[in-house]
Amino acid sequence: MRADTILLAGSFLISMLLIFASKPIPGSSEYTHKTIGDINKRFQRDLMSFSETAIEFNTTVELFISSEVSHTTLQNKYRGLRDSYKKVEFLIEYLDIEATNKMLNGAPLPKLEPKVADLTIITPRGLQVIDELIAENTIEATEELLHFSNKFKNDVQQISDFIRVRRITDRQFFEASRLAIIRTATLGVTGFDTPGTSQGIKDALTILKNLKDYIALYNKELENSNRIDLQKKIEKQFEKGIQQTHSEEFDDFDRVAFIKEVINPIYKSIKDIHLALDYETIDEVSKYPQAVNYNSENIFAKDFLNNFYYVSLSNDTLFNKIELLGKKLFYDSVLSQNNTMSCSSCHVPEKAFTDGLKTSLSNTGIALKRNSMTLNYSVFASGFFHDLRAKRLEDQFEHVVLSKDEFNSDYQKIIEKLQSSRTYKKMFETAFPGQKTSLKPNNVDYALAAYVMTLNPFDNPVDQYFQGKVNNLPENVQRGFNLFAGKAACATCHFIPTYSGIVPPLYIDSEAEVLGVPKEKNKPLVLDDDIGRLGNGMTQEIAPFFKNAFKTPTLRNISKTAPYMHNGVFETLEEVMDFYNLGGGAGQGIFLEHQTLSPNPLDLTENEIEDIIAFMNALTDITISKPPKEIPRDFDDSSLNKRELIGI
Amino acid sequence: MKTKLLAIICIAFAGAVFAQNNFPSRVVEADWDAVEVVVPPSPFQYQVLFVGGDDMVQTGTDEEVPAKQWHDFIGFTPITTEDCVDDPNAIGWVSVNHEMILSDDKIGDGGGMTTFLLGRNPINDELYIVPQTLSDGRSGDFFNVDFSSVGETGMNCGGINSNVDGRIWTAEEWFRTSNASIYDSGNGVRDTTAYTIKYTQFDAANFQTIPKYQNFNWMVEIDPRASKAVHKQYNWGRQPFEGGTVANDNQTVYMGADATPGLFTKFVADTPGDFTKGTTYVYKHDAAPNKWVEIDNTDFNKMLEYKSEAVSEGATMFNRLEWVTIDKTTGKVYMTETGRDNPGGNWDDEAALGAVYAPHHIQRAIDQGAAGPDDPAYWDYYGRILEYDPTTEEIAIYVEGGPYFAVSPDLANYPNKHLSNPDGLNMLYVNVAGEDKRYMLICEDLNGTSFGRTPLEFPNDRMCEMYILDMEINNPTVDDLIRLTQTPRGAEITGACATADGKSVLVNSQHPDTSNPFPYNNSLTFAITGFDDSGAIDTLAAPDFSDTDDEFVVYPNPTERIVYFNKTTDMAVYDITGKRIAVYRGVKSIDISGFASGTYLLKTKEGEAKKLLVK
Repeated sequence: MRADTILLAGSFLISMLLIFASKPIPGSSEYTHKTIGDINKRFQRDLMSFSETAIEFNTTVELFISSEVSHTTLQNKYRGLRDSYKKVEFLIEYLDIEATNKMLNGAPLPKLEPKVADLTIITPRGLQVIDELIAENTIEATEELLHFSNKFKNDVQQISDFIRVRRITDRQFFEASRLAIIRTATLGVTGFDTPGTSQGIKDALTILKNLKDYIALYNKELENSNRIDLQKKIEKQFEKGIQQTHSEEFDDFDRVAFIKEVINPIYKSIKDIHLALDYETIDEVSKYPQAVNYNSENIFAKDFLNNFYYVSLSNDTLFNKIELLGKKLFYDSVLSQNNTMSCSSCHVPEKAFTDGLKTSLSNTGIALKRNSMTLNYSVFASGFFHDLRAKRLEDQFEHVVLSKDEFNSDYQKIIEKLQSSRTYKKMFETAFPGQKTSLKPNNVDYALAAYVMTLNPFDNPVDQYFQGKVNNLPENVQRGFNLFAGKAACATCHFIPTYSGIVPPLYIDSEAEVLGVPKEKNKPLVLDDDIGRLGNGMTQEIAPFFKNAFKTPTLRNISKTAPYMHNGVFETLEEVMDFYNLGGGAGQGIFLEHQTLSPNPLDLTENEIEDIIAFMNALTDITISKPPKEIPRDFDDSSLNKRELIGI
Repeated sequence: MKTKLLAIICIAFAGAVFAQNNFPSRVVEADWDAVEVVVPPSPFQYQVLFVGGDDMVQTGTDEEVPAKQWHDFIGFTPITTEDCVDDPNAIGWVSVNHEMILSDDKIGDGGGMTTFLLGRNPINDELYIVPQTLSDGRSGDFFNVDFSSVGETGMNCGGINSNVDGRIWTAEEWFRTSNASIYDSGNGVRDTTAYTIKYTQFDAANFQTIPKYQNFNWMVEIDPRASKAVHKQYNWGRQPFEGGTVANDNQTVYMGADATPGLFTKFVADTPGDFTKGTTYVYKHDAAPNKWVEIDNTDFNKMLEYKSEAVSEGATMFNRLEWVTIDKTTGKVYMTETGRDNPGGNWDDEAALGAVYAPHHIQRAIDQGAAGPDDPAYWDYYGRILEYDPTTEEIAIYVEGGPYFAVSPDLANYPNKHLSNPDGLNMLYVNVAGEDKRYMLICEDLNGTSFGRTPLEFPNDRMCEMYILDMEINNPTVDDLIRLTQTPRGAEITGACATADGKSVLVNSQHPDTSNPFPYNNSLTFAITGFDDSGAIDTLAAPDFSDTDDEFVVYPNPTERIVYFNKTTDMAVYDITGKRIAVYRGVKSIDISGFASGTYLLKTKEGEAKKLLVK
């Protein structure tokens, strides 16, 4: 205590300096009178109005059933309900994403109830279900509609009751607003949100108008900070967005221009305003990295997603050493039992880390069950392998190590071998200093993960165009992007910007889809007998709707990753597009109860398909990874030193 | 201006130094993004005892493999004078459940348990593992429990730890309905041939041949000293058992089942200590004159089909009963009813067949405006702790979970105070400075993140905490819970088990996020020691700042982890260079455990400033 007191007194001067040097905490004395007070009030008001609109909509459905109102009235009321929801969605979703997904606006697909020992399927409900029923407009659908609109009304009431007592802060408002911008680009204008009525563009208009009004509440604070220029700037960006979304039809909407001229600029501007007002950011509140990097300014930027969120490694000075070690191990056949197979045997860098084969070959040259997946951008996932059986990048290597068909080894053998190389021993010691034994199973996994997680250049022509690094993007690629994220509905599963199943706007969960991929491409199609996710060995994932479900891979570098699908059944992108255009397996005569892809044809023309393929071909990274020049050759067993460097 | 500020600082300073003498207490603050176990600071001690996947279990003579993961229940069996253990400081055996079904050539397929003997250093109270040689010749620190003689085991979740003599039963929870579900494509229990029960003390069960999966979901007694299963309790019914407790008479056993509906079961032995003969009952709150209805345990089919028997007898239905414990001083039984978001569709069938809803669910449904507990709109997000009084046979809500603002906590105390989906439950009896104290240990296992079960910024995290509750508090609410410890990201906190001397509480961190640093990326058993230290538990209670006026007070300072203020405010923290490094809104305390040692400046939204030293 005495020493502490002396220390306190001793640093008295420092504290003085600190007090004068530090900026005041924003929001000081009249915190409640500031913008955030108005934002909270406005949100309360909008929330109440949303609740009332949900009641009204339910009444309208009742009236429609008793033929007292027309279908047009019903549709108008539905539009009103959407507008009302879109005004509060960004904050409701931010405050309670689980309840939002479960009750208000989750994907219209069944889910398993988590944390219970029995298998309980939660049937979907909320706006996306309602949207499909509105679009269907049959007698059966209308009866179901009443059931769901009634539920919706009650759910809205319940969520509002809980959320009404919460107060949001400036930081939370800005974060929620930026998530809303991501959501608009990735789930709104792509049609994900409105699987039946395709009203994503109208939704975007409402969102932009609403957000513009909310952010205008910061005028005074920005004036006080002498940064009213930022308000003027964002106002113009909103105006542009409002203009673009004003009278556009879903199929004709120019998503390329919208993202480049509206989404990305607003995404940056909100952050600029946040920082200009000096409110705290998530980095000052949480020690842990978020999947979406708040500092990023562009949803196609290399730093938009934080690869460190997805792995066990920290972004510190040791990382480069770990990665360097991982890069050697990745190409080194010493990891396999008979020193002939390495990671790069099936993941060749110049093929975007695939092997070009229908399905990969075993260590004895026999074709295995599944196609080799690209490793570029693979870190951005919550599940690995086609069946999602590993949940972290670093957890997946052991499946390869232990597999009799692959490395046919175990960690003990690998470590014994690596220990007999001075270079490797040294590299482990430098990469993992201060550990009792640095050469251990976990560290082998970490090193490999470190290498694989860095393979995300985000520098294909489309990226570069959205990043503003190049000014042109070929017309056909632009048309292809617009179809991909519009009429062809590709981006409702291959989400922007990874074009994989990692779901925006939080990018923390990976999806798998049931497409009805056939065994062979000859018709009539016969369903492939691989049951996918259902057979992944996870006790908690035994659900009928996971049968034949496979991970949604990234489409980045797709020009190099043929053949396609989990079993490599399609050799060309034309064949793939044809399969989707005809409604997948269920659209072509395969009986599939749980296909997640619509069995209805997409009705894409040949030209449209060509454009989409042109777009996909443009997803090829400029940067190509190279194997290391050399791997350690100082093993005690000299025969090991003659092994080949695989992957060149 | 400068002079004025200086004066303020001087006063503030004096206040800070002075305050240290005034408020000698602190609490454990929630750390919403912990990647390690969060424990109370000194005088408590913290030790990791048993790490799954890393510590080796002895599976045979000179044969060892890494222990299984998914640590759940912990049982403690105190050493007696009859035990021949060389180490005079040995205190008793610890048995840890592994809640999983996983094939393993050495440990055995299915789930399992691990046992070890604990010793306590008499000088500093530290715990250590005492090496043993078992009767079957295995020798070492950790031993897997051999279940081969009872037809394997699986999903060993909760269990029973008799507070009479430390006997241990493990509960095979996850209810299985087919061989495929235990076989799990070869990853689970690989031997699925029909099982014939033989040579047990249960006459009704002997020579019955049942499908393999039906040999799961029993209570199984084990011998922690020999690390071997004794028998499956074929006379207590086949149920998704989670917890249970043995009453002081060493004759009555109370058990809960984790399902919707979950049933409350009682077994009364004919002779104290012999649980192979006796009568089995299910609870029915509206039965008269007494509320227990017998289910005939001499009919093995009724034991196999326990639920349908109980339902047709009109048993009372609960929403997922988890652990059961008993306050041995009062004889009252406590159990966690962890809840399930929308149970309506899960128990309406049983209601139609005659089972009845627990009265508190009917009341809650009315309060919510729902048609009844079977209404799909009826919700039970937070769960609760129930109290059963054997003298009246009544069950009442003891602590209702929440942020259920209609009941508790106070809105101003949220998110600091909350209790969602309580699961593990146990008692701690400790003599502090001559006074016998009773505490309840409560563990969370979140069912979800919605409706305020976790705070806003980390929707993907399910951070689970353990609370301690002083049993002397009348009508406790969530506001009375004191946070004791917390497991890292992704983990469920469970096990909570006091050693017989009351000095330590053993806790499990189950299935943590694999991204946490070693060893917190594995399931592990840890110990917190020092509950018998005079004043130690008091230091967990919130400081009382009532003596101070308007003066802004920061306590303690210097600090290792938690800093308390005498008011709720917005707070910014600046480092030595004047850079703002952290901001907290609407807080009465902050956790600075991630900060490097050094000097920092705290500033409130009102402009008050205090210097803070981080040790």
